Amino acid sequence: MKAFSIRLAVPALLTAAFLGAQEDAAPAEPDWDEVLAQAVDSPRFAIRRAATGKLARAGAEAIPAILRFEKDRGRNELPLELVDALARSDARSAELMTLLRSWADDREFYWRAQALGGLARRGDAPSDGSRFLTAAEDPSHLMRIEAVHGRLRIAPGFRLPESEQPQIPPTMHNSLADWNLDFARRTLEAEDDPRARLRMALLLYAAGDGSQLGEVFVAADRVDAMWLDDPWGAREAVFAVRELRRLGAEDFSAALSKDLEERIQGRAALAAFVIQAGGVVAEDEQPADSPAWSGGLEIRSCRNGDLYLRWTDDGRLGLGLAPGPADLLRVPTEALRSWRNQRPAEMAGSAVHGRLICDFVRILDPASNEPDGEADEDRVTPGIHRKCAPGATPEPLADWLKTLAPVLEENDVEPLADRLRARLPQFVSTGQGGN
Amino acid sequence: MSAAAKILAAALALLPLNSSHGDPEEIDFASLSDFDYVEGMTLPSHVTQHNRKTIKVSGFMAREDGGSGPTEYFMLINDACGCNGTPFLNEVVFCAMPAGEPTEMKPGTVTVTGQFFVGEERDNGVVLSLYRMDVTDIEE
Repeated sequence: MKAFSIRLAVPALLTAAFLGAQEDAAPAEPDWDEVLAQAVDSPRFAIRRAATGKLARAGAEAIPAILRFEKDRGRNELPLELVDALARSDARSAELMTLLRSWADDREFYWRAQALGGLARRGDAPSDGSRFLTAAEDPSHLMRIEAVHGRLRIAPGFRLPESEQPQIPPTMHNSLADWNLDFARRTLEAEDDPRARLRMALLLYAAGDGSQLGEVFVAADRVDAMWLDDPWGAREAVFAVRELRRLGAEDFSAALSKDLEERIQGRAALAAFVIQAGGVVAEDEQPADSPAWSGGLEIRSCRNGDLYLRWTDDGRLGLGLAPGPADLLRVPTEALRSWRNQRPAEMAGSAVHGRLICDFVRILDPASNEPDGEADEDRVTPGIHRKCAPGATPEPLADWLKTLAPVLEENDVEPLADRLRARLPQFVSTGQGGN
Repeated sequence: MSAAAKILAAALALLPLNSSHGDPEEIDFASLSDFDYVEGMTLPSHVTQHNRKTIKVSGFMAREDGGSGPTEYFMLINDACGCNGTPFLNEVVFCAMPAGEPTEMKPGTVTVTGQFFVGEERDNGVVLSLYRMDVTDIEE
């Protein structure tokens, strides 16, 4: 095996030796600042993961080091692995709960949804009840999922504070569990992101309500769905089947089989399970004659929410990962073509800009040929495929992307223009690449 | 058949049907990650059967150190955005380019071909990886 072993030798051995030494020297108090430095700065994913696991197991003991780190280097330098590990740990110290709440409430913190998930998992903290209600309105689908998670995990005996009483129908006063189930169903009903709908349905099932399991069937049916070059449908379908298995259901992976006969049988078995659990098996609302998408813009933002926009050569727009009839919009063919043809020539080709950690904007638009009335040959606009970290979008690209919102606005697609305007500034270049 | 030909035929018969130099086997993350990995476990045969084979797998490139610019090492992951949580070790293929041939990071889905290695790679007790690949080709 090539250079892997050689490459690992120095940093990994030193780091592993450090971590190992920490394990061996049990009686001595570990230097949590040092362990945290490894969790943040090690170039190796697995070493960072091991160090964060150690910090998470330490619980309250390690928190002063985390607070010092935040003060020195900034909260957003904390790695996802650490927040995730602390959120998933069994620790319940007051210090950790305070830290998780502080992270979950920080709109600028990249990993606030993971922190909210940590509060949801603990599920016995009455003071988080209103926090979950607020999160149900968050632009990030991850926060909305954790909102449902949190409400469903709050113990039935919990009573809402006085300020929240108007939100509870009087008939539900003596059954907060019922109210939370209803809240989860209503939140799912209003949700338009298929990833969030699926997870909310599974959370409801975990809480004893299988009425929304039709979402699992839809996810399985979309196993071949693509968003341009991204096979997102397979990712979600596999997740759905795996989660069902984890929750004690049988294995429905046959419903995703590449073998058609096997898939038909697996699909029938899954449909029967969904109906038996109280769900409804419905047809996917996606139009049968799916447009031939030619390009698109993908914004992944844990801060401001994701935006998926695709277009066709004749001016049709599709909003979201799985646009239903209401998500199919139209602008004049010429308006969209004109905008696409203005893409900066120096940005042709594919590249990644900045230090990608989580959030990014990606533009993918292939080369196009157009008849040129004055020339013998077609005019060719080169293709573009760029992915940019927050603050790292090159100026010519950012300037071009900014001109899409006015095109949408001028052609009566204002809500989409507003969503775009709300998300693009995070990615405009500041000269530093970051998340 | 001459003695030499018999020896050659016997030697050929002993070769595995799909050698590391044959057509690449196509695998996907659904198969690589469809089990709950626990340190020290016996990995399922449907993943170990690919050990040392030439395989082809699609995913997104991510730098292990979060940096930018050309690199000889990268992680191949199933989702472009890590917001859904830290990937498990069976959700990552640690890829190495040929020595001295760094690659630019690609913005979208790539299909990577190369020799695949399966098994826990440890250093002083820390599991560093489960899946590794010596890359011979990257297709956008």
